[in-house]
Amino acid sequence: MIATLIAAIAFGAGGAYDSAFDRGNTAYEQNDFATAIGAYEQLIQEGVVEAPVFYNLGNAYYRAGNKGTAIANYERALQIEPTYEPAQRNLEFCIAGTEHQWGKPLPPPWQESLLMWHDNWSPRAVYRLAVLSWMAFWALLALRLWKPNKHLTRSAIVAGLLAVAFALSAYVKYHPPLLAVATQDHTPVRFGLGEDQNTSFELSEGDRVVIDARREGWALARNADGERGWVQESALAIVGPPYLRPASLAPAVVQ
Amino acid sequence: MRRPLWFVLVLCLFADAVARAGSITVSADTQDVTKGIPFQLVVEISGRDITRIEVPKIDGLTIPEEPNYSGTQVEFKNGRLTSTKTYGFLATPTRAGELVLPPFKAEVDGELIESTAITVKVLESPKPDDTSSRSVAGDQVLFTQIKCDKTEAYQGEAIALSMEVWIIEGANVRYEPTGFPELTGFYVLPREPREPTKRAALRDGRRYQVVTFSQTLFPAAPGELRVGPWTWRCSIGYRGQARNRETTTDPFTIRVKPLPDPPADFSGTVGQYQVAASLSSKSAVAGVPVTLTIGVVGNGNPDAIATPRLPSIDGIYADEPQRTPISPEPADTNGQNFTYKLTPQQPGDVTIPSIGYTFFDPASATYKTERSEPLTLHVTAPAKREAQVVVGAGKVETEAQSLGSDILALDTQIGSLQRQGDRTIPTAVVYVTPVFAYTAFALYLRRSRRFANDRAFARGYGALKNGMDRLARARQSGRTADGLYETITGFIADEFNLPEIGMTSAEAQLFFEAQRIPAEIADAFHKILKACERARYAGAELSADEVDALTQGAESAMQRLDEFRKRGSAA
Repeated sequence: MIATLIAAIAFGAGGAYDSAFDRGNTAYEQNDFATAIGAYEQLIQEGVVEAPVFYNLGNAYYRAGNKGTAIANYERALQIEPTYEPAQRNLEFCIAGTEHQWGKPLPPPWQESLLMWHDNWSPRAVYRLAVLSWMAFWALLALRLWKPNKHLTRSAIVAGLLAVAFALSAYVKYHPPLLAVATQDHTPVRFGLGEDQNTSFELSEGDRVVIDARREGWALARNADGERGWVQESALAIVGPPYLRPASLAPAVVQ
Repeated sequence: MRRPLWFVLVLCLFADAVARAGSITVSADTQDVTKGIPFQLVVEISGRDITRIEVPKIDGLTIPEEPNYSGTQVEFKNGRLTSTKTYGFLATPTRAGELVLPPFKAEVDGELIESTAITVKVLESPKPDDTSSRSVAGDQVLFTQIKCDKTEAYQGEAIALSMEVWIIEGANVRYEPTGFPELTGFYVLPREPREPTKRAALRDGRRYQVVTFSQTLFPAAPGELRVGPWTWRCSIGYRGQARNRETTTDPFTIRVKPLPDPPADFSGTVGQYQVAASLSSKSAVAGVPVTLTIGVVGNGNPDAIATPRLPSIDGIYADEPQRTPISPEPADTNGQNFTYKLTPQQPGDVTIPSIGYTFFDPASATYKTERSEPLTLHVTAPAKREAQVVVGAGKVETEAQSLGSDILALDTQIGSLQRQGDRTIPTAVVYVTPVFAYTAFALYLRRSRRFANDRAFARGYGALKNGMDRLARARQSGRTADGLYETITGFIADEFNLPEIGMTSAEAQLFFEAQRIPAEIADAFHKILKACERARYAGAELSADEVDALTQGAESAMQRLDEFRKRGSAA
């Protein structure tokens, strides 16, 4: 009975999410991009974190003329499903249309060398593998305790190492460097925190930067070339997680 | 008929005599030997019984008393078994000139036989020439030399470095693949010399095997740059002797000239280069990338080849190039391929202009620019609706709209969406549960093993339950005194892992005292056992009240003793 209740609740909620998603798709097809954005954003606010939702939201933002926010949403889709081809394709397309065509800032060198294998794995996949390896590790230890065997010892070591590797990968995937995308052209990046500081360089809409620090509505941004400076958060779409709406967009869009 | 028979008989006797007679021959393993360099003196003696060899003393030649090797060859000769023994002596000439070796003598089959005298020509030790190394041992069994194909070069120009080890034929050399010279101020490729080449060479009338290690040097700065010295260590075995050798070459310098003032588009490479460009396809659909490959091939430093400058092309988006090293023919050339993904944005013909690459040519001491041929890409518009399969995890195949030069269409059929809740608590549970499960399993396993292996523990653990069961059975059976007595003594035996042979009340009292059991517990057992003994041996039946009292007393005493044993205190 409990299982039936849980299933009913789950499927009932799932159905509601599906209809919201379809509503967004229909609005998009009717060129009502504001409604489409609202529908997708609502799903995301309710915790539906799926790559296709971000992808469609990215398309809606692109159609609505917000290229920077579109890029941020394609990046979100690729964070969840790194091999999601349509998001990759549209991201490249949008980047090609930016003024600077900057590359994405690279992760730290230790991460590149230690986790070079995990780029195409989704966070969910590595999380599940970490859990499975962890359970296998303890199960093998228990078996070894019951009947000591050198093969079990070796297998337990391998399972333990895999558990550590996948857990590290999952942690990095769920806690990536905070990426942000400029939502406006000629966004000044300043040497210091404040409007009175001199400009170090400018961001164009769609430029991707990594946020190293946040303070009083300002973000310390670093681009792919390693240049750093302070930029107002209102000019950025933070990729996340958490997945928040860019501050520069009118809140009325969310219904 | 008689004459041929006699002739055959004489011939056989002669052959027999020849076969029986021993022989000795002496030879050198080489015609010309060098003063100070040992050579092998080979003495062959045929015969059945060789008792001694006399080695003569020769002025100008040192011959050791003991041979450095010997061997025996047995053959069937003229109907008899004959053995030939070979002895090798490592002889060292101490003076140059012609040496006459007098006959060697040997006693074979009881007869003293001697060899014929031989002459050996001894050459003077050659002096090392300017290019060869100083040999520590001063001989020519092994020496090294190091040379470059240039003594003067431009900064960044390729200089071929050869490090040669000359090993005389017949020598056996072992070395570690390390110990190459330090080359400060040069960019060196490969970092460690590649597998050496080997060739045969003749020098001063001797045959050598020449092992050559090669590297290419690229001077990093102008000035006088030093090459070497090169110290080479090895173990060498030659003519039966093994020893460690060390040779060192003299250092020399290379004069490095600075480059003349470079043009603005100088790539930084020095050498002779060619540039070529090609497209993966001459036609493309707008929005669909094609590959442009620019190859730069030359004889300079492959790591210094700079990325060619791709000019901005209208209507084309080019991403960052990928660099791939290539190894074209001939072998002394190298290069890099630079691969660009070009995405045409609009339909029409797009010209990819000639791509220039400027380098310094040291042969002509000028800067040169090589250019690729311009290419044309024909870009067509995409079809209005083009079927594309988009496959994702958990999704059915769907048809997405390709918008050509636009973004791809929505992903509409994705299955059921689910909310993703907070993962912290499930993760903690998932990670902690196996640890608890393992701990519980380990404790269970430990207890089961203790029950299986520790009989005292197992008996003590179940003593109270067994005692209570036995007490109940004793009451039901009617054999109250006997049953009670056996229950109590059985319980004590289980608690203390004793054999179940029974004990008297006095023995129980003494045993409890020895075990330091509290007096009130010991007294309780003593009284019960005493009452049982009185009933058993005096023949007096116990009344129902006595039975109840004794049974309750026994239950209480057993519980208290069990509690005391398990907890360490009486309840």
